[in-house]
Amino acid sequence: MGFSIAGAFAVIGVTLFIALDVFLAGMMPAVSDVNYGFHEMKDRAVFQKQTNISITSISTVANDSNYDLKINVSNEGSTTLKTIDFNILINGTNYLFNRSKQFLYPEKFVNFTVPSLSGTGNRILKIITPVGVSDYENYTISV
Amino acid sequence: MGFSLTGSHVIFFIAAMIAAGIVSGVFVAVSVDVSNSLSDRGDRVSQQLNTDFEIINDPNNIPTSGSDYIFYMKNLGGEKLITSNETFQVFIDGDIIAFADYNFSDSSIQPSEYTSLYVEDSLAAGDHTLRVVGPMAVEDEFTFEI
Repeated sequence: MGFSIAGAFAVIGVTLFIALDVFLAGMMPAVSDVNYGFHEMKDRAVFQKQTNISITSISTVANDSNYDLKINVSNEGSTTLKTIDFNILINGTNYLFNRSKQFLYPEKFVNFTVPSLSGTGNRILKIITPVGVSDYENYTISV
Repeated sequence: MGFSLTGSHVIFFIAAMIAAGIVSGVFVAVSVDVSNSLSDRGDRVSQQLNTDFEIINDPNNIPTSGSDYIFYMKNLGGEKLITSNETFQVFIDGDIIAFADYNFSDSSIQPSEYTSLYVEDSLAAGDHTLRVVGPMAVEDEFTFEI
């Protein structure tokens, strides 16, 4: 009788170790995934906080019966931005653009050119960085 | 008498082993289940933390195409976003937009890329609120003027 109880406890004890091993083996990758997710989220939040741009000048240049819009943007933040991932909205509509640099480093400028626009009068320009930080400016078509 | 005592001990021992085995089996099975669920939950939380997007329109100038309003949605997260009517739900002023009345210009967008969301709706002049709910219930709200 005494040996039976000892044997049963031995079996349950060994099982406890196996179950703990299985549990930890499953939990550690989950903890690692969550930790990685938080780390990435924190990095993105810090990047966004450290990003700031300013539209420094806007000019319009005649292009046949249309005009080209030339925009100079300065990086006022401390992050490096990929210029291909910017968005340029003119009166709310997204336009494709050419750019003078691939990357916009802190304290540097980039020139964007939106070719062959039509119309006259005032326009509202919005420039959005890859992380969603944006700047607005009004301009008047002067060609 | 001696044999019956030994026999009964053997029977007790076998019964104890069977009972311990059953308890152990249940215990291991439950541990595996809990472990798998935790692992799945970890994946989902990680995915949720990596999902982020924003409507980047100029709130005073919402472009249109025919009877559709166009909203630009930018992927600010760390993972590719599948943009379809199954993964995104759209609300305007609290009313859900039917699946048939909105669509995306792209089937997916990589981080930092954008897509156009076309919403067919007739909105009165004034202020409105667009709410887009994406994968893992991540959402963005955008107030605009028509």
